[in-house]
Amino acid sequence: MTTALLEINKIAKWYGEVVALSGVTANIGPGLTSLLGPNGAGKSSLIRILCGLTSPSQGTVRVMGRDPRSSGEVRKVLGLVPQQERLPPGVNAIEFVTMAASLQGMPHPEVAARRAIETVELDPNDSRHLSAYSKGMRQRVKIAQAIVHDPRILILDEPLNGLDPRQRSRMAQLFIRLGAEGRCVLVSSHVLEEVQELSSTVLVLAEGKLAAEGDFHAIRQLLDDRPHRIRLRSSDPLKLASGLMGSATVSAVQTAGDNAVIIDTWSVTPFRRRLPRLAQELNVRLLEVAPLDDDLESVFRYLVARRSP
Amino acid sequence: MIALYRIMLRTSVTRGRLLAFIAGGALLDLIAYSIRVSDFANREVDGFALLDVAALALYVPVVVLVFSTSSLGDLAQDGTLVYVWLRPVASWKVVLVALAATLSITLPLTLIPAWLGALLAGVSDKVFWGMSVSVVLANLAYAALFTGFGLRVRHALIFGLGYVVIWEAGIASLGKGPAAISIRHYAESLFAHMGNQQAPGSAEADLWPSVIVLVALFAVGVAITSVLLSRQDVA
Repeated sequence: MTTALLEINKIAKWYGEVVALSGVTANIGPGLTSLLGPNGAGKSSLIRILCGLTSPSQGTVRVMGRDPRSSGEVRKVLGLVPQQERLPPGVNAIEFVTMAASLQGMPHPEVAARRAIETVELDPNDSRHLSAYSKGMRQRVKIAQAIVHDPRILILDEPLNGLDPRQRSRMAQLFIRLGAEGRCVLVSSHVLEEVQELSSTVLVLAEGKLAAEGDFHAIRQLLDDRPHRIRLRSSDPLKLASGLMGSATVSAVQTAGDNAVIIDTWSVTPFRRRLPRLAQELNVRLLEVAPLDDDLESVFRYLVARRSP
Repeated sequence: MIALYRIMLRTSVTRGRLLAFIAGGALLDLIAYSIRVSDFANREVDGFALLDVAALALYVPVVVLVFSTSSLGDLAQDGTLVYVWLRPVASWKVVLVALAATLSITLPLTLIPAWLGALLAGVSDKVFWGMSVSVVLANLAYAALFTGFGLRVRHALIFGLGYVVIWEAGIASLGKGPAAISIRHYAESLFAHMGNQQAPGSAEADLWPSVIVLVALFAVGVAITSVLLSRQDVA
């Protein structure tokens, strides 16, 4: 049985009237876990609570069995890449990461800092201030300060933001390696493709609630197995609509303005295969095929609605 | 901790702040020199009054306010406090490092122009040393107070100026009650006793109680700021 290093029990967090998290329960063990959700879903609030940076309004969080808000032991084994971009002014990468190593009580802070900076493929001898770094370089400095003490638990809030595709891939490989070595690595992202690259266990957070959890393939399947809404513009919408009504792949059809028909389907791939042949049979010219709900926001909304009682 | 000290120092010390306060100190010294060359001024009495009002009661609290509210306050405001807060270091140690960073810039910034002013005005040794001790202890008390203030209060600079100008210079001078909760009251009393001069306004505390209160304010300020830091909601 895998031991949960992070135990989240029915937590809620609100800021005045705004509910950021509501009734979230999850256990996270060693290995790589992704926290997927659109902006404003509550990912950063959950991460701040997990790190003890703020208290939940309701519920409890335990990190290795301890309260992260008050435990110094948790801080010894925890590394965090926060979401905010700002880094201290007037310092360079080696000074900043050395400070992190020194505060973690490392015996040779500068040696550890050099190693961490090299791990994220930056030059520890670069004397430029962090303010002169590109967004991607600053992001990697943030990762370096989080891994400098070789933490058992590593929490990264949107760590791939601002990285170019090559860097993103290299950092993703680093997170995969750190997770495979037995650390608990939690990576948040609002980009499905990033999570796909990490190929990890996934927690989907939407509107402050845990919308789904499982391995990436199960989540992908869940995202695909939902009603899709597609708008079809054609030369003869009424003829196309009547043809579509007899199709097994279509669950609902309605006409709309601008020569358009809107259909609902549970089997998007078979439908896409069938559609050109049907248009040809009906002698209808297709002008546009546009998915109406393929953005991640609507997918998450669907998942939340699906889980709600 | 040395790395943290260096980073805190660089965060709070900006060229603009340094130049502004060096200019302020130079103005103080210019007025002190005018006392020396004036035919009508009593060097000892007027020199003491200048150092008391301009240096101890105005320049010191404003300089310390600016640097100490920014030492932890700026980190909390811009979101970089997380890089310190999330480390396994006792909060009182972080507060002491912040105070060390503040004092290592405010002490020279306040003491050097005050010393120069004392020399230029031509005051006695008693006034010179009384002023030196008062400035150092006032630095400690104000820094401990304003560091916690900067951590917890938005626009701490404005509220801090309100405390210095409205409370200490205004309300506290009206009577013993409000004066008892004013750092300036104890710093001025100490200066007057050590300088063997007449204390201005309501500054009538005895020598040792003044010293004890200023040192105690520092200790209590460190303790309160440490608790505030450990309970801080960090962005």
